[in-house]
Amino acid sequence: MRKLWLSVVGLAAAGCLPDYVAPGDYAPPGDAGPDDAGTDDASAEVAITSAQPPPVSDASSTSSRDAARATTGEGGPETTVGCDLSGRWLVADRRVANGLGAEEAGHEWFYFEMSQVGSQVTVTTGISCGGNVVGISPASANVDYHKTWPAMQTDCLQTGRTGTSVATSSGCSVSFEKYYEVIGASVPYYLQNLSVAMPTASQEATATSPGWQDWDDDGNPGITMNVTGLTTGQIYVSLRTYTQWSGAIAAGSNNFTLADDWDSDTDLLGYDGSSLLTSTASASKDNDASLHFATFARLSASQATGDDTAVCTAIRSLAPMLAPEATN
Amino acid sequence: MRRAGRATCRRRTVAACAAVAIGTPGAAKASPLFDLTGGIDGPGVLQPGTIGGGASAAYFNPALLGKASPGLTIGVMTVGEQIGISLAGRPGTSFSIPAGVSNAAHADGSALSSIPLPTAQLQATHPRQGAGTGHETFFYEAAGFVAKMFDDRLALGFYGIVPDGNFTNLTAFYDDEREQYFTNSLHPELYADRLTAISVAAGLGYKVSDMLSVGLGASLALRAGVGAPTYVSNAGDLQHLLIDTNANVNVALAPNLGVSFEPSARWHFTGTVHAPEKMQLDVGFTFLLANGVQQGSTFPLVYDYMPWQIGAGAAYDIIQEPGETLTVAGTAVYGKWSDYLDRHGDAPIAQYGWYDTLTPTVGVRYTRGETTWAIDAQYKPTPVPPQTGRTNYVDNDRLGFGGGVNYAFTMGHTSLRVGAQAQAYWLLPRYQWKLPTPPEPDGQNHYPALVIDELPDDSEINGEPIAGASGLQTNNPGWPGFGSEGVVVAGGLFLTVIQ
Repeated sequence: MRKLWLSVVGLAAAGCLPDYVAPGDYAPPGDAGPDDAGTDDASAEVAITSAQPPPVSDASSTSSRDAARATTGEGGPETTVGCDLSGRWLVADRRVANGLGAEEAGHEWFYFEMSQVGSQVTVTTGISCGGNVVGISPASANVDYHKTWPAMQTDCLQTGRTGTSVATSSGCSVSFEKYYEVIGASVPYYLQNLSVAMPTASQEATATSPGWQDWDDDGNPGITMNVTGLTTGQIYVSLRTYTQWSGAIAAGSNNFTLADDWDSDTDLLGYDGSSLLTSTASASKDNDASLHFATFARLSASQATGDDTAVCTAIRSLAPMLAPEATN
Repeated sequence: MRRAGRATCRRRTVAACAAVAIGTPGAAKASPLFDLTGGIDGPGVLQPGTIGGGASAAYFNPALLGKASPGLTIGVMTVGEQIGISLAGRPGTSFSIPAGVSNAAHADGSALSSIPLPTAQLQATHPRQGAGTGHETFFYEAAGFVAKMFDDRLALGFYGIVPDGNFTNLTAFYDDEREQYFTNSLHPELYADRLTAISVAAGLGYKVSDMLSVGLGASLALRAGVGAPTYVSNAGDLQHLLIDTNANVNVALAPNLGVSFEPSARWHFTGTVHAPEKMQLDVGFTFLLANGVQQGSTFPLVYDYMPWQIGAGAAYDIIQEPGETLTVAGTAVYGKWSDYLDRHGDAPIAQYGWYDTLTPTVGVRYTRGETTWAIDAQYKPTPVPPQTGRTNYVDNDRLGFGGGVNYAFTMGHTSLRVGAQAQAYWLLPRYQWKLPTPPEPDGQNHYPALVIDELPDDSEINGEPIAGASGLQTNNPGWPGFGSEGVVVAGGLFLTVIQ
């Protein structure tokens, strides 16, 4: 009623001769705009949320991370111009491993906000939203570890990862630096000491010494992987994995795939079930390089918005649609 | 399919592309300024086609040139417009365009007719009605002359009004949601830049007999074209584009006819016909891409359009004594505004077609000795129907009053006449609300006359429905309604050196 009244007053005010705009709403819910504060008028300015990169945090402390960070969807361009990868992306990484002749595809899903200056690309926000393992050959296993996802969301950050995107005669040459990720163990220590082996079952982290950590709070060391398939049970592991993405893409691509040169150091901390379960933990990288890749899919402003939890929930649901080949 | 096309185009333009823009001249004649200000150089005021007496008859009714004193006239004039436009408040956030829809497409992959801007961003960068053009003041110089030949049977006249400052302004704007990309404002359709139209006319009047005179005139204006061949090596680096220009200026003429018939000493009848007038600039663009693909487009820009106008007038001398005359006069002008073309060369959409108008004017002239007073009243209905749909043509019914006085005297051995005139027009208040656009779940525009849903309900991005696309979303600056009201005032002084 108030708005209607103001509108009527506004129309009547035309007799005063200056142009007049009655207060009104200009931004849909969720947009950073004046409507969120009520109403505005023609002279009001809208606070455009910029996607400033948060400080690159020491990934050792979950409590120090700002869990209230919110993504509005206004994190940069919504289409790729030339080789400029600035903007918001879903990244789905696929790594295929062999264990006892069975092939298993491990997947990990990321939310990236990237900025690019010249040819230099920086991941200003990089969050791991979890992963899984899917058997892709007979007698292979599926692995679920969704209870670890919240911890990965806060501790497996790729913020600060750098890369390059350079124009070539045929498009763009894109590469990202080798980047390590530690799961189920003291993150800063095992990232900074790559020559140190991942902890054994006896090396539980304490306040003063690094070691494995119970990321899913189930009372078992490291993270618990629930294995189903020919063999069913649980394995408890800690991992250190690196990925290195590179490849040639077409200019202007909003969806592209890069080869993934990866490896993983998995430490079996225990298991519950058949000893065959351990083959999953000891699986090694498949020699067929074409099986390993990361798919980048640019996100629209309405996709994957909100706080980190909401973003990751959206990323996991979007991955099969935006990057289907990297989630099979 | 559309998205792929756009991406391909961007890649090409970023890599390198050459663009050539060419403007070509079209027909160009215009004088809405004449029609607004009337004859400032004599007793014509708001009925210059019926009451002559000055060089301005060259435009309004060349048959009356014979009644004007031969000589040279100079003058100054000013016109001020204060036209307020009020926009109703947008009633809710659900009508706004959300951010991040630049890649939106229909569910079947076809392109949207036009990609709208996010409403919040638009309001931040181009506030609604932040660039209106209804408050301006113009100054002009006027000049004219009348020469008579062959025992005063043939009269030659010239009359012109030239704006100070910019010789003319040509400002195009869209009258619907497309204006969001430019001023995001509404503009008075028949004023603003039309008040700087080039206004120069010449005419011949011939006295066939004591009762009958006929005249032929033409208004003259510029016709211009501009071409801008442009080379863009990198669409992301426009500050380094290369550009040439090709411009040309020509003149054009539009005819007007007049007749004056005086069956008795007291009765005076007149008739006028003015052909349509406009200044048209045909603009052509060709884009040459680095891979050899060339695309092009042409479109017209139409300024200062005036339709066919047919006028009839009558005057009767109530008092006709030596040294004293009292005359009542009336004029009606029919304007074929249904043929109107807006500044982008578009005719108003059929469902909201403009009306033809009949503009009546009445007035009195009183002459005593060497002084003549004149007063007129005029009602000009707007040709614009209520804008309850997509378009936002802003115009109002107009009530006008004009008055003037001129005085003839001799200084030394030179006969002179001086005069002053003032006019005031009131644009009567007008308010209008847009009709609601019915739901269009299939995303197709079934109601093109109504406010367009710029983000159709079936819009998707990368195959995902867009939150907030349901129902009407629009950046049409005139939605959900607007009002307009204002005044236009004009005044002028002139001096005629009588031959």
